[in-house]
Amino acid sequence: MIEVKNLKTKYSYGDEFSVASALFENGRISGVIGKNGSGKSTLLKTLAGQRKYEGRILINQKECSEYSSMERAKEVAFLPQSVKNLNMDVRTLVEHGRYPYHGNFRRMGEEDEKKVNRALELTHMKSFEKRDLYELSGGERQLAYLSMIIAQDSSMILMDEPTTYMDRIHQDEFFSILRILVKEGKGIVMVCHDIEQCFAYCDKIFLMEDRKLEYAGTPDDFTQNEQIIRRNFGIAMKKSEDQESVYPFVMKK
Amino acid sequence: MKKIIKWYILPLGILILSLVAALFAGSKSISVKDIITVLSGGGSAFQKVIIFQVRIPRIIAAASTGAALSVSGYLIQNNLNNTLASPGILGINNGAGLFVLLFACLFPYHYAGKCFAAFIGALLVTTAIYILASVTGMSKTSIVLSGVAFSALCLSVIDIIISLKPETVADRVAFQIGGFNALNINSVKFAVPFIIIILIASLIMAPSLDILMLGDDVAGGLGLNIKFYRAAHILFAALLSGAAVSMCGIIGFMGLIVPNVVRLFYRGNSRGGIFLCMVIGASFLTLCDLLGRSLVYPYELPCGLFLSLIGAPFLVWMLIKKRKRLGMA
Amino acid sequence: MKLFGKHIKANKIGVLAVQAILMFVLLSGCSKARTDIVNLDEKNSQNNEAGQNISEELTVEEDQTTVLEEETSKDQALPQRVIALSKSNAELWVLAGGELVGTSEDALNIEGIGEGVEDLGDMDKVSLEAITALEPDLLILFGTEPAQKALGEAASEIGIPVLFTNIDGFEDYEKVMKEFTDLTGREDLYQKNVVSVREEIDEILKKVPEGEEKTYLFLHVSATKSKAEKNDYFASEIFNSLGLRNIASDDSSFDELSMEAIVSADPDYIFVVPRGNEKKALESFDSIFVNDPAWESLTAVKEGRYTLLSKDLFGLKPNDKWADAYKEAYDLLYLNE
Repeated sequence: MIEVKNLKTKYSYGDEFSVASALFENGRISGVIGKNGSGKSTLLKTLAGQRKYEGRILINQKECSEYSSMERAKEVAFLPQSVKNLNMDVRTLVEHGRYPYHGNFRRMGEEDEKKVNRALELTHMKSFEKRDLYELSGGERQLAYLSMIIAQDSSMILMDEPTTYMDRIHQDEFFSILRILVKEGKGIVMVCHDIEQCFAYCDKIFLMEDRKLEYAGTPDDFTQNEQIIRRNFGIAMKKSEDQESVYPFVMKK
Repeated sequence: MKKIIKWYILPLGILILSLVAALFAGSKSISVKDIITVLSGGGSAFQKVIIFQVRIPRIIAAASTGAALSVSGYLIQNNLNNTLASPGILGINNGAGLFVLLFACLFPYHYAGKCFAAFIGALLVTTAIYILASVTGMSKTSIVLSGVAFSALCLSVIDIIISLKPETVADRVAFQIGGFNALNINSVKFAVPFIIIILIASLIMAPSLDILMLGDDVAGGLGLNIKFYRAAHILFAALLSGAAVSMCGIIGFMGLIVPNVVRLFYRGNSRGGIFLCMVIGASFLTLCDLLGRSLVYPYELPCGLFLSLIGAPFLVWMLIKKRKRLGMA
Repeated sequence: MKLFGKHIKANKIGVLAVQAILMFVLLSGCSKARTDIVNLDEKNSQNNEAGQNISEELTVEEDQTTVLEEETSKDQALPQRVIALSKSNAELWVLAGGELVGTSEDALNIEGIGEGVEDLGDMDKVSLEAITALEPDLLILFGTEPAQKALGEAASEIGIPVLFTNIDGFEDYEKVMKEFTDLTGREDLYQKNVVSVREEIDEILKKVPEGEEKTYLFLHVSATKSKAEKNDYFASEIFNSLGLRNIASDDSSFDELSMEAIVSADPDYIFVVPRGNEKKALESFDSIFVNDPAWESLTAVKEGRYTLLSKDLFGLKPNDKWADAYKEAYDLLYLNE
C-alpha cells in the first residue's frame, strides 16, 4: 500500500499541489479523476518518484526515501499513458520487467522466466512474444508494456490513463486483467479519463480539484454527493437501472 | 547457436581478417615473406621497426579508434534517443581542438604533449557539460544543450586564438583532418588501454541502456537511477571519443554511421549492439586506413575519404532495404 | 548538492573520483614523456654526430632503447640515407653536397637532386611507414609546420634521427648551411653557397643610399587568401635592410588584409608575390584588389611602384640565390631613380 501525508509539491509557475492525506490499498483499484489541470497526473508522478516533494510518502509503511531505487521498483511499478514504440520484440520487453531483481549483472533465471511467461499468459500476449513492438497496434503495445509491469511483480502499480489509446475490446480485456491482479493482492492506482469506466471498475475514487485532493470515497459515496461531480464535470453519476447497460454507474444531467 | 555465430563469431571473424589484411597488405615497403620472417623473430632492425613500431601500432590505433568512435556514437544515440546524434554534439571535438591549439600556442616547440592536450580538452569539456547538465536535471535536453553551448564556446575561443595568432591555423587544420600517418607510438600507449577499459565498462553497464530507452518514466519505474546512468553513459562516450581524438585528430562520420547501420540490422539488446559497433567499427576503420595508406603508396589518402565513399552508399542501401525498421532500437 | 539522490551521493563522488584518477594517470604519463625528452637531451650533449639541433627548439634525439641504435651508432660523420621534406629543406641539403633517398613531391625537380630519389608525396601528409621503409639515418623537417612536427616526433620515438630547420632570414640560412656542410664535410660548398653570397649581399648593402625612408607593403597572395607580411618574413628583411619601412609591421590594421587598410596606409611601394597556383592566386588578387576602383588612387600604383615579384626569389627562400634577391630588389628600388 501507499500512504500519503501532507504531500506538497510546487509547479514551475508557482502554484502549489497538496494532498493532505490519502491511502491507496492493496487488493483494490483506486481511481484518480479530475478536470484537466486538476493535478491528477501530478499525484501519480509524485507517487512514482518522478517529482520532488515535501511531506511523506510511505510505501508499505516504510518511508519512500529509505528505499533504494531498485528496492522501490520491487514495490511500485509505473505504466505511462503513451509508451515508446521500439525496435524490440515483446518477450525482450517483458524480460526488462525483471530488471529490479537482477540489475546489470545477473542473468535471467528460472524464476524470472516463470514470471515472464505468466505475465504473457495473463495478458494473452504469449502468441505475440516474437513480434516486434512496431508491428503491434496501439492497444496491443500497451498490453505488452502491461505484461512487463506484471513481470515486475510489484505490490503496487501506478497507471496514467492507460486505456486512452485503446479500442473498446482491448479496454475490456485490460480491466479484466486488472481485476485478476487485484485479486492476487496487488494494488492499482489509476488516473482515469472516462468517468463511467472509472466508476465501474474502481473500488475507491479520489477526486482532484484545483490541485488539491477534494474528496475520496467509493462510487456509491459519490452518487450521494452529486455536487462534487457536477461542479467538476457538468454531470452527475447515478446507479444504472437499465439491465442492459454496459456500466453499473451512468452519467445523468 | 545460429544466433551466436551470426552476431558474435562472424563479426569477430571479419575483424580478425581485417587486422590480418592490414598487417600483410600494402606491403610495398616490406614483402609478405619478410613480414613473416620478422614475426618469427628475424629480420633486419629496420624491418622490425616497420612492423612492430610503425605498422602494428597504426593498426591497433585504427582499430581502437574505430571501435571507440562507433561505441561512443551508439551510447550517445541510444541515451539521447536521437539517431542523428554523434560524439561531436557533446562538444568533445571542439574542446579537444581548443586545447590542442592552446598547447600549440603555449609550447610551440614541444610536441610530445599534444595528444594529452587533446584528451585533457575533451575531459574538461565533458566535466563542464556534466556539471551543467546535472545542475539542470540531467535530462536529455539539458545534456544536448550543455553540449551545444560548450561546443560553441570552444569554437569561439578557437577563432579568437586563430585571429590573434594566425600562424596556428596550420595546427588547427592538421587536427581537423585527422589521420594515422604520423601516429606517435606514445599516444597509442596511452589511449588504447584506456579505450579498452572504457569499452569493457560500457559492455558491463549495457543493460542500463536498454532500460533507459524505454523512456524516463518507465525506466524510473523499473528502478533505474536515471541520472547516474545517463551521466555514466555520456561520460563513457566522451572519454572514448576524447581518447580517439587524441591519437589521430578528428575523424568524422564513424560515430554517426556505424551505430545506425548496426541498429538497422541488429534487433538485440544493447550489449550486443555495443559489441557489434566495436567490432564493425574497428574493422571498418582498419580497412579504410589500409586503403588510404596503400592504394597510392607512398602517398597517403585520408581514411575519412573511404569512410564516406564506402559508408554513405552502404547506409543508403540499408535504409532502402529496411524502410520499415527506421527509428530507435 | 544532491545530484542523484541521497544514497547515491557516493556514486557521484565515485564518478568524479574516477575522472580525477584518470587525470592523474594522464598527467603522470605526460610528465614521463617530458622526462624522456630531458634524459635523451642530456645523453645527446655528450654524443653529437648526426642530428644536432640548430634552432632554439627542443628536439627529441635518438631513442636510447630502440632497435635502430645498432644501425646508427656507427660513428658516421656523413649521414648516408637522408630524407628531406619540402623543397627548401631538400635544396639546403643538396646545396651542402648531400644526397637524398627520399623527398616530398614539390622538391623532385630541384637542381642537382640526382637519381633514384623516392617521391613521398605531399609534404604535410607523409607516412611514417614510407619514411621508415627507406631506412633513413636522418630526417630533415620544418620546425614550424605542425604536420611535420608531428611526423618528426613520431619518427624520433622510433629511433630515427630528426633535424628541424627554421629559417626566417639569411642568418638562419647561414646557420643551417654550416650544420649541413659540417655533416657532409663540404667546406667548399659552404664557401660557395654561403660565404660568397654573404659577401655579395654586403656589397649591395653598401650601395644603399642615405635618404628618406620610404614605405612598402609586401603582399603574399593565394587563391584563397592574401596577406600582408610583417617583419618576421625573410623578404621583409631584404627590403628593410635596403632602406625601406614595412608599413604592415607598425599597423595592426593589416592583420586582416583589406582595401581600406591599404588605401589609408598608402605605401610608397607595393610588392606582390603569388603562392600556390600562380594563375588562380593572381586572378583572385585582381578581382578583390586590382579591380577595386580605389586601387587606381593608390600612390604606388599611380607612380608605377606596384610590382609583381618572382616566387622563386621572394616567395620561397632563395637559399644560394639570396644575393640575387637582394640584387633584384636593389635594382628595382634604386636603379631607375
